[in-house]
This record gives sequence, C-alpha cells and structure tokens, in this order.
Amino acid sequence: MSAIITAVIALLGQILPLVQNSQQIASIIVTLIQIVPVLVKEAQDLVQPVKNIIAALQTNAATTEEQMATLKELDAQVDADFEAAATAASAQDAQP
Amino acid sequence: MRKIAIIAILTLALGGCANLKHDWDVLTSVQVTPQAVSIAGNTFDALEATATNYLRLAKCTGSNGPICRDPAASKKIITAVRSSRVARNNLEQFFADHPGQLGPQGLYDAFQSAINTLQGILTLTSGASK
Repeated sequence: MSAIITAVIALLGQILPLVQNSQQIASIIVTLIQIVPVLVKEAQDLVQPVKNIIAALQTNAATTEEQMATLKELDAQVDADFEAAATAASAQDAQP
Repeated sequence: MRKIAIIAILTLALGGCANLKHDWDVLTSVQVTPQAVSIAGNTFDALEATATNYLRLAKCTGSNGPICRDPAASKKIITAVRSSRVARNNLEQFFADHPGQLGPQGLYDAFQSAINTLQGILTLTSGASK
C-alpha cells in the first residue's frame, strides 16, 4: 500500500503544477486531507510531505519563506535517514 | 477496500486537470513559482522516504523473499536519489538566494526529470517493498 500511495503522490507532484483553477485546487486539497489518516496508519514517513503540499496549495502562488524553511528541514531529515540506510545497505551488499 | 476507494477518488479528482495543461504550458514557458517548487520538493522527500524504507529491508538471498532488497536495485536507487537531491538543492537554493522571485524553468525541469527517474525505479522494485 505504501508503494501505491507513493506513486499517487508522485503523480500529484506532476499534475498539481498544471492546475490553475481554484476549484480544482480546493478539490485536490480535500482529497489530500482525506488521505492523511490512511498515511498515518500505513506510511508515517509520507505524512509530513503531504501536509506540506497541502500547505503549499493553500497559499495559492505565494509560498512563504516559512514553508521553504520547513521544506529544508524535511530535506535534511530525509537525507540523513537515507544516507544512513544507504551506508548500511552498501555494507551489507559488499559482504559475500 | 477503503484505501483502494481513496486512491480511486484521487485518480478521478486528478482526471479533470488535464484540460488545463495548455494554460500551464504557456505559463511555464517563462518561469516557475515557489509553490511549484515546494510541491515538487515535498514530492521528492516522500519518494526518498520510501526509498529509505526499501534500503532498510534485508538483502535478498534467494530464500527470504518476496519482501527483501535487491542489491542491484539498491545501487540504482542510491544513485537516483543522490542525483535528484542535487537537482532539488539547486532549485531550492535559487529561491533562497532570490526570495519572492520566479525560478528558472530549466532547473525545475531537471528536478522533475530526476523525480520521474526515481519514481520509475521505485515502481520496478515495489513488488519487494510493498
């Protein structure tokens, strides 16, 4: 299920910039809000990115500096987690 | 079943957006907004978190499947994430250096391309990571 949700989020990332109609944006925000409880149960790691996307959509085109700062914090966190996992996986794969 | 229904609703909600592509193409022939960058950045972070979860799986040995990690796929994922991260950082740095301005389309396209590549690899490995 996590893989499906991730695929949907990636799809959203590609389609959302195409949307210029406020009603469409409102509809997508509602849908994303409905997904959050499922993410909490199934894919906790995806909750914060989805919440950030909702916040970005709610500000129209004027993404605030605060939102960019929040994104940078999330970047640092997921980067650190990934590098730790990548290091461990590479070490495991190097063993016969 | 409830989760499948949610995905179906989301897919339907997105279906109506396609006819707006022309307007967006016109707009994006110039520059991209911080909002689009924020959405793309968070999308990538979601994919990177999923990639991290995949790398945390035990290495496939031939007898511990189907939920295991393929070393060959792991290499591709690590390369794709690190490459995408460079594109993300370049784009976010532009907005940090130029607050309130629109960003260059080229940096955004490079980031979206990197996201698509990573998504493609994760889709191929989803059989093991789901």
